[in-house]
Amino acid sequence: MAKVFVVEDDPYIQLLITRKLQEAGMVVQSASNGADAMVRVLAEIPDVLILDVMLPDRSGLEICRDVKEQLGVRCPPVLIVSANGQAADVRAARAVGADDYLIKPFATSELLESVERLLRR
Amino acid sequence: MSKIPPALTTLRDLPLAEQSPAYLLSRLCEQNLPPGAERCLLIEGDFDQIAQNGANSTNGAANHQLHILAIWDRERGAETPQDSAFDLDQLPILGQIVNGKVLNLADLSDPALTEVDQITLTAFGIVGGLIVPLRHGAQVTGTLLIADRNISLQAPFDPAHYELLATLLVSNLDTLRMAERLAFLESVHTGLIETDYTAYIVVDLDGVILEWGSGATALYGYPSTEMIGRSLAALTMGATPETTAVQLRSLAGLGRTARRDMQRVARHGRPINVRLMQYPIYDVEGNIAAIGDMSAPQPSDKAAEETALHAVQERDRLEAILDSTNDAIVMIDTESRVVTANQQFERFFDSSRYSLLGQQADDMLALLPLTRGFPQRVSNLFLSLATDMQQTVGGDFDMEIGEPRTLVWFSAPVFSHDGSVLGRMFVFRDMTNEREAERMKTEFVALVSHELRTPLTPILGFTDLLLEGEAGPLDEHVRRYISYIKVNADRLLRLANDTLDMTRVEAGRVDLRPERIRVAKLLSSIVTPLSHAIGQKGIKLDLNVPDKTLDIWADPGRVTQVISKLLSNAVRHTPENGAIQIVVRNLREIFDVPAGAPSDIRLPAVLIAVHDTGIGIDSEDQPQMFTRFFRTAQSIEQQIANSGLGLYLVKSLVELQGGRVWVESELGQGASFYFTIPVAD
Repeated sequence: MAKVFVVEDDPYIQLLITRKLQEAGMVVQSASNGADAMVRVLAEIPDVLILDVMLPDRSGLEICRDVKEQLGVRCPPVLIVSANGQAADVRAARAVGADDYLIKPFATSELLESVERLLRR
Repeated sequence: MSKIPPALTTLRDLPLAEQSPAYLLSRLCEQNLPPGAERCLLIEGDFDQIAQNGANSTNGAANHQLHILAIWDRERGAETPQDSAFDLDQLPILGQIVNGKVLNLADLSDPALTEVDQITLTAFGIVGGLIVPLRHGAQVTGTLLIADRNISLQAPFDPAHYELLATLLVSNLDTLRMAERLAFLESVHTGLIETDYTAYIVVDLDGVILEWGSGATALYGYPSTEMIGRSLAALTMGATPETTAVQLRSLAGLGRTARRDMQRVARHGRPINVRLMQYPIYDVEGNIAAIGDMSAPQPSDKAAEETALHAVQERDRLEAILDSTNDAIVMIDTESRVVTANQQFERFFDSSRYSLLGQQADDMLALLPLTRGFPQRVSNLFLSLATDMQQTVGGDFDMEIGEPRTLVWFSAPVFSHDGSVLGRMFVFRDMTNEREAERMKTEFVALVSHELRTPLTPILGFTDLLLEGEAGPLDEHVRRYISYIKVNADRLLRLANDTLDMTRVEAGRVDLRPERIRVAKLLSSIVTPLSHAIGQKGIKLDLNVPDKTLDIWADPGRVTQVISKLLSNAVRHTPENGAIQIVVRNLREIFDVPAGAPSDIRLPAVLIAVHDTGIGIDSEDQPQMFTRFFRTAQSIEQQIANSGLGLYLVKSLVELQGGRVWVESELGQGASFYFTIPVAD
């Protein structure tokens, strides 16, 4: 069973992502801040990591960069979900190694498609 | 005078144009032929011709032909029957004043003749003749050359006769000169009479007005008809015709011109300070016959004072106005001197205006504490001559004097009422607060619309989950109501997105990443996902792209946005069983551009048109379709969801990419939206 880790401080969005992916048969774990997320992701590496950008303690892009650095080739694909939708935002995410980018609000079907695509890697 | 024959008197009657010296002479000679001569021949033509004529007439010369060959007059230079016939180089004797004696040319050895004279006279066969002095009183003022080749005549040249002739000529020349001078004076006199700037009056020695010019009418208020024949005393307070006559006669007695400032009385007793000149006018005999009286308004000291005071007050008023504005204003004249600087200029640039006024522009710039940011362009404008640079220009810049400031400036030439350049004006406006407010507004709007998207994520997401049946099968009513929630959440999202885009467009912060795009592929990627929904609405959608290989140079995301907005507008306004057509055309040259297009289209371009069969747009509304927040009356009436931002964004995004957008429509006949995008090279 695919394991997905969601880092999202908005509880409703966290719940939405969790429900949608669970419905598709995935195991979903989540965190609401960067520090918590770092510890748990490094302890138990998921198959896909979903990161919000604006978190209370740090930026999701920083987490992405750190995780990529620390895990190297063992790092799972990262999906960034953000309300920032400018081309510059997407480029910034690419620069820290993000594998896909969804602009909020996203259609739940888009979310599922993206995660499934990343799992196939 | 007694010697003057009647011929002289008849000359006065000749038209002036005919009174050339040569003509006078020929007339005189005709009437005073020497003994034995039958007629006087006035030679026309140049000297060569004269010589030729002389050679031809040598044989049959029964007649005594008197040839008047030249007149030389000190004042007028050479005068001959034809001016070119003789000149002093050929016959220097003419230019000499010959002792007042008649020179007989029969004796070429006369020491008065130079060698050149002898050669010339010989060359032209002149073997007899006279050079007669022209006397003007006691002075000899010229010579008269009378020559004849017919040597067979006995004593044809009686010197006494020609001396008399010469006297007559001089007298007639004097008359001629006087006539010419009179004609000249007449025109001067007429000019004076007609002038409006100076009062010109002529009075006789008793003060009776003979002439009253239009300037006099203007100055004194009396028409000439009223004044001619009256005494000049009318213009002088307390004067009588008698006292005026006495005064004028004493002036005439002195024979001098008199100038003075005085007060005169104009019509209705109005006093006028005038500057007056009175001068004697002489008759032909040289006697004072009249007095000329010229006067002009005196520049009054009081008026000058008032003018000066007025100018100072005007300056004070202007300064008060300039100081009350929030703009810094400085003006330089055509010689690049600082002529005006207001209080704000002092404050902005931290310099006393009194140290700047009168300075040359380059010195002023050196005096200003211009720290970082003062643009070279403005400095250059200060240094260029106002007459050379007559455009209005402007811009903005950030600079730091004490604190960072954003200044907007503009500079324009200053013209005087007659259109000449007076100088150049520079205006600086402190826009720091306005720019800051603008920036905060942009950021606030961006923040709000960004924050709207976060709650919309779960709203739309859970709506999706419900509609997918994640929470179990839904009752038909529930399903419908949830779909309403979804539609309106979508509207809210569109509004947030459009608002965000609008603030970016207005702040000039649209991030464009143009690339080569294949139009056919792009269109089908936009249309295909929507065609099912459009079909369900009962609308027929037709995509017409004749050239499948057409590429444009644009940002794919932004072009998609433009097409999606136009397409969704078309869908919203088109009723069931209507049709929407998207047509792509290549505009290579000006003849390909459709009639309704704006004139400034950049070619070559690709034209994308979205035609619908909807309600159409009132022609009155069409020009405003692309302005912000504009909604047509119909769309308000029919409650068609529309923020009024969509088309504004379409226009902005198209124009940012070098394209143009326009609409053609008739109410009830559907609408066609067109836009162009530059072709990829």
